[in-house]
Amino acid sequence: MVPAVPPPVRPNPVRAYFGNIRRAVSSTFEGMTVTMSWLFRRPSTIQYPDRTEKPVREMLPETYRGLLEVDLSRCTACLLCAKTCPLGCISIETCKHPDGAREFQTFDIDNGLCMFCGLCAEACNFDALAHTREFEASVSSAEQLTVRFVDRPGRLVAKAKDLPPRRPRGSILAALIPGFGRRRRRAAPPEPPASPAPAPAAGAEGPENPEGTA
Amino acid sequence: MGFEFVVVLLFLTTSAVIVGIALWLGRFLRPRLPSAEKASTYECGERPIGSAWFNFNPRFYLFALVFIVFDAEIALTYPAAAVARRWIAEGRAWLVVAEIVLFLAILVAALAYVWGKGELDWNRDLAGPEEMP
Amino acid sequence: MNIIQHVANLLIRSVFHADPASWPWTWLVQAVVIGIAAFLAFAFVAIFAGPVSWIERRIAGRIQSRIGPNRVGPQGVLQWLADGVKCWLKEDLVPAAADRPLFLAAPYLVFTGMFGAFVVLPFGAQVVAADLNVGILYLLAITSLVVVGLLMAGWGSNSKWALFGGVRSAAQLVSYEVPSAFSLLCVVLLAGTLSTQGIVAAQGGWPWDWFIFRNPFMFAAFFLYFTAAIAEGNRTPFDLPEAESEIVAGYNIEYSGMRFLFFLFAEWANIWIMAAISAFAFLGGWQIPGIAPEQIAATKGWEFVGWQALSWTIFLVKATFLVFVVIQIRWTLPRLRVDQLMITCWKYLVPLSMLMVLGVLVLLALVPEGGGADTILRGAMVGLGLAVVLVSALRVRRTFRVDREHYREMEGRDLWYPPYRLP
Ligand code: SF4
Ligand code: SF4
Repeated sequence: MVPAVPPPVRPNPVRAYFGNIRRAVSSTFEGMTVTMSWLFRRPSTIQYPDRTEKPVREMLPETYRGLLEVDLSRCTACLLCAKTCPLGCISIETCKHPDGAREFQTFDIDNGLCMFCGLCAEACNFDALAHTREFEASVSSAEQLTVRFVDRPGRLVAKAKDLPPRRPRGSILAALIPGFGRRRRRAAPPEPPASPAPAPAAGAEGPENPEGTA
Repeated sequence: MGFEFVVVLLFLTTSAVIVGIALWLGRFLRPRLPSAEKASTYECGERPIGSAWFNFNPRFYLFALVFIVFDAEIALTYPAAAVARRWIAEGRAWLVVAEIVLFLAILVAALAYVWGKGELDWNRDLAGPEEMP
Repeated sequence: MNIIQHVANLLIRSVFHADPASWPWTWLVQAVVIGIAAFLAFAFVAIFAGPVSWIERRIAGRIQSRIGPNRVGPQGVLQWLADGVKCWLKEDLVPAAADRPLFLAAPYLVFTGMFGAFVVLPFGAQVVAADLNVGILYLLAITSLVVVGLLMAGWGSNSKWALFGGVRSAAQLVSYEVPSAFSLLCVVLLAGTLSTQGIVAAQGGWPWDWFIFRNPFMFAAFFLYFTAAIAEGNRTPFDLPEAESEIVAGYNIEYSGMRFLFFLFAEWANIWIMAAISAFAFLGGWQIPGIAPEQIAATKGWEFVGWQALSWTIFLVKATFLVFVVIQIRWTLPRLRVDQLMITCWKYLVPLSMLMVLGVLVLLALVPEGGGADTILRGAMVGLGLAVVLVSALRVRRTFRVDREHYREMEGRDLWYPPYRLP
């Protein structure tokens, strides 16, 4: 059995017509006053990057997977990272000296290709390759997206037996690319004077009646 | 009065010339690297299917028709409205009131007709009520 | 005498030492002066449209509790310049499938249609490029040129989005022309003239001399006109022709670079034009309270210039205030649907504006101007206007104060952050 549907109540068309006009006027008025009051409110957005309380980098968790950085003094050129990378963004080349020592030719990471999956850092057994908390990677040409870590010739490949301590994370990138990710910060403007003292309640409005009469 | 219309004409020409000059000067500033991809019609990244010159909703046409009637009437009412004040001052109020009310009455009749026919409703079943076989 | 002839005669007398009536080159000097006047008007549009686009974005930011563009120049005041230069340096693309002549010609028509309105706008006591005796009809006619331009852009682009945008804008502009023409008819009834300067002269400097406060029907007609004007300017909540979320960008979707900029430019200038029309037709235009236009015309030299400047300022302040109202409406109301748009116009605005015409006509015939009934009516309407302003101010204050308590509880800070304090 299909339950009987009561016939829809048809509103009086004339009343509906004038009701629509009244609703349009009152809701527009109401909306305008609300948006107007927003002009006097503190924006909830904070100006990035120069008005945040501290640099955004420092608010990120330690495990954040930002731009990759390699400490060449700890890298044994085992190529594990380059082989693990599903995209092949890491290219490492070395050459051998006659005395058996090896020297880095290239150690490039293509940030334009990298998807920050962390597999390479996971694979590195010597804590040479790691993510930093740098993320502001914009540069002015596609060329610059590739970070070249071999900054001078004669960088010898490390021996796994005696590794120097890991340099602080982020310091290598910072030294490599001057000003990278370190924008000028400005002091926040002084607090405004407190709002004018609440005047005596006028008419229907007043703080003791916050929900108020419409 | 002739002078005033010369001003209008010169204003319109000047504005067209300003647009022309701005576009022409831009020619020396902007690159020109045409490619087939750029010259294709934008359809949110899809390859456009067919031309856009097809028949569109005829309801636009109905509104345009109604508008023409209304606009012609309004244009005719303006002169009457412009002299209304003077005629009322001269004691011929009934004449101008009758005239404008007549104009308005024609329009009200037209509007009532169109409204009653349901031509003002956008969401309309153009095929009419379905009949059960 | 027309201000342009005045300036030209002055030039001829002082620079060429000739008598303008008999000198054979008078027409040439006049043409040059008109050209300069047109260029000044263009500069005014550019200087107005640019910063207002920035101001709107800042206001939108505050309404949406964010900051808005503040990078180019101090607090972003040069943002509009950067945008303009960027558009100028962009490649000018014409789709291969487009109807080339239509596509290329559309910006000219849109811009010319917008710009033509400036000819009759009464900026100051004596400052109007041409005081046409059919001013209001001319305004209605010339602004319809924009429709042609938009249709040409929509059809010529041969893109489905553009076509829908163009057709929608044609239907919308054409429909809303009816209520706006009816509302202006009320003004013409009261002023007894079609000339724009005549309409301003028929009002006065004090609010009770403005047409909007003449009687209740004029009060309603103002709001009807304003609504219709917003729709004619393609502004939210009537911005269906360029509804980003429905038809991407509407009629201007295929345009790039400078051609695109001219569409935007015309749109911004159109806001100002409709605000200016509302200001001169309903809000008393440039009239200075307490001084009659004849007194201004009788002054000489720097005094004359001073009065002119004051009348300019008054007009610009009124128009700019209305521009801000338009901006705020844009960030307050959601967009209408196509059917709602058409119903709003034909079922509500058109009958109501007809009613206003009738009411104004009857009152004009029955209530003699300057009589006791007229004075009472005007006083009551000014009181009503004041009440609207007061009530809305109180509402704003109440909305703010309720939320300030909550904010202080949650954030421990004061919510007060006035608009003049820039983040
Ligand atoms: S993070 Fe992933 S994608 Fe990037 S270099 Fe390492 S393995 Fe390759
Ligand atoms: S970074 Fe680590 S994994 Fe990659 S080559 Fe060097 S030591 Fe091997």
